[in-house]
Amino acid sequence: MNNNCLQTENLSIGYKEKILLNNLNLEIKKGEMVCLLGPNGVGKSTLIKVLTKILQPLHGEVFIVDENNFVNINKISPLKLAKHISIVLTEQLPSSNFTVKDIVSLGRVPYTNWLGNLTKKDDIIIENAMEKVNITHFKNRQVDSLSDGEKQRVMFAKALAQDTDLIILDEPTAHLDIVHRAELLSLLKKLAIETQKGILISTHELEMAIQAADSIWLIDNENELEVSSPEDLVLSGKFMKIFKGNHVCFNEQNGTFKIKNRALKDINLIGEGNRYYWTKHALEKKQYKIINKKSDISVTVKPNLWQLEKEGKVTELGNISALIKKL
Amino acid sequence: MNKQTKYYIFFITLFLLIIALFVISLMYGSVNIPFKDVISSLFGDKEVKKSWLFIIQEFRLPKGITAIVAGAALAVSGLLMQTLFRNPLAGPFVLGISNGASLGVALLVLSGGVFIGVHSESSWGIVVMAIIGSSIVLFMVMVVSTRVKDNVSLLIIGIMIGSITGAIVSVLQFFSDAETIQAYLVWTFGSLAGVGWDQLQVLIPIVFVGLFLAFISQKELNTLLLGDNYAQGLGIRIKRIRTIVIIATCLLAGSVTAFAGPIAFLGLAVPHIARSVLKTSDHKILIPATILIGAVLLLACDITAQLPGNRNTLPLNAVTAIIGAPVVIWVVIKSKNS
Repeated sequence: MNNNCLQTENLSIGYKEKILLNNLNLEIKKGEMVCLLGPNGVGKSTLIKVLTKILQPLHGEVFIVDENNFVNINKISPLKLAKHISIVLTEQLPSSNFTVKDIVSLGRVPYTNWLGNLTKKDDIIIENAMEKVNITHFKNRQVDSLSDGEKQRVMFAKALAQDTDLIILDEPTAHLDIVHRAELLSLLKKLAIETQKGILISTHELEMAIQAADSIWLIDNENELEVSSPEDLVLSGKFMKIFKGNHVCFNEQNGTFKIKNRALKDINLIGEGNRYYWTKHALEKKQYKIINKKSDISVTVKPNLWQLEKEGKVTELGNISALIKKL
Repeated sequence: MNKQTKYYIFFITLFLLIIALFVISLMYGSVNIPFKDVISSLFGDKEVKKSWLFIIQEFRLPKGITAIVAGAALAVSGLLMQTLFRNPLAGPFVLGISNGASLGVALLVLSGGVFIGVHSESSWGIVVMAIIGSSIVLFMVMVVSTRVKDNVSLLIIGIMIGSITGAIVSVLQFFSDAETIQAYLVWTFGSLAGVGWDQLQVLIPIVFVGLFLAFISQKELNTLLLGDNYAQGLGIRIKRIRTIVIIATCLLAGSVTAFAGPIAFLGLAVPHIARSVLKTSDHKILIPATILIGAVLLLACDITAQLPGNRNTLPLNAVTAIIGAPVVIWVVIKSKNS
């Protein structure tokens, strides 16, 4: 029994003038969520296009598993490939008079007859797909009237309706706000586990990828692709190396990015818990360096107020913005 | 109201409208024939005046049928081009089909027939030359379409080929005398009057094949509206459907142009009317809708062209634009405001 739904062999991708990525031997297992990460312009979209047969590779082969056999995607019909891989692209949907349900129904195209007539079974699959992505309540609206994020969800429902064992999404979270972004990723994660689909996402969302992915394909600036678990990549310092910049720093403890603040003045901050954390946050933005010893300025976080000690004077303040003003 | 019922009502209304306009088109012309006599002559009643019977059977009946067939053909080919290029400004002639036909006809008419050896007096000469002209353009476009991947390049190349043939026609006109230019210009105005029963026997089967190709491609056409990459992701062979669409368009627009001249505007306008009124992009609905609207509109335009009443008729091309453009403007404004 084969456990993969996609595999590549000695794959090289790029353009005539420029090889982007060389000698890739990748695999996506059933039920696995893989995130493709990397800075702009290293070949993420090109790799996605090669895996979905929109572009041809320079060398090497891409295989999918059809009835437990590895088959080169160039050797099966486009129709059959459409039953194995569905795609959600970043490109904007052209303007049309389609309703949400019309678009999701197009996911059934590989299965319907030459007239595109939907059977009862197709209808159930379409309804389920819309239900899962939570778009049923606007299924009769015209797609043109939706926001970018809603359109993205519609295209994802289309991919679900296509009922493939691998879903490939190119930057699916780009147009979503943080709530819908988290929702989509947890939905993808859930689907991967429940339906044993393989899911490949290309994304810039490092934090989300670390939290959700089973495996990460990380492309660095030297056009090397490394496959690893997100945790190992954090520990090996790889993320730090690739995503380091003058203005952000990567926190290796919780896997988040932070804007680097210059620290000019010392301040002694005393306190604990949430109130302490956010006071520190605000002070760092104001270019203070938090120290835990006696200093010219000192702030004590108390359960219901902030106590500021500056130049021998003590002031009590009700909230952080008042404190910052007083500094 | 249910969407499905709305479509049925729409289709039935248009169908009745076609019948009504068809009968009206039989009544009016250089001689006006009363409604009663038109109906009688249709059913072969012997009591109708011999001359009226002749006019209806030999002239107006084939002309009315041509209006329906040509209207449907141009409208569907316009829809096919707009879908293929995802461009609302595309029409049946964007690939240069009418320019090719014009070049063929220009070569025949402006050279006075000597150059080609076909007699320019016979209508078949014009038809044959128009078909040869548009086929050459079709052939060039097909060769190009196998080489370019994206549709925008194809669109640009189609327009360029059209410009070249248009330029050659201009050169031919420059070296011709006023009389032959006049004869050529009359052809470019478009007219349904030249199509008799003989021509219909050729036109109808060709248009039927074109409509059939459009009909069996409706599923693929719908996916094309998502963009080529999504269509491909759904298992559609882009080059194959593109070839089918181009062939269908050439059969539809090419044959109508050959017999009735380059009738402008209709093919561009009708798909917009259909989409705005029915609020759908589904070709299962749009194809029959454009067929019906195209037939209605060309019948109406032809009736209008007869309005001067005596032997003079307005140029059909002018009428299609004068009637069609306000309709499109009205429909667009109405659908954007609602």
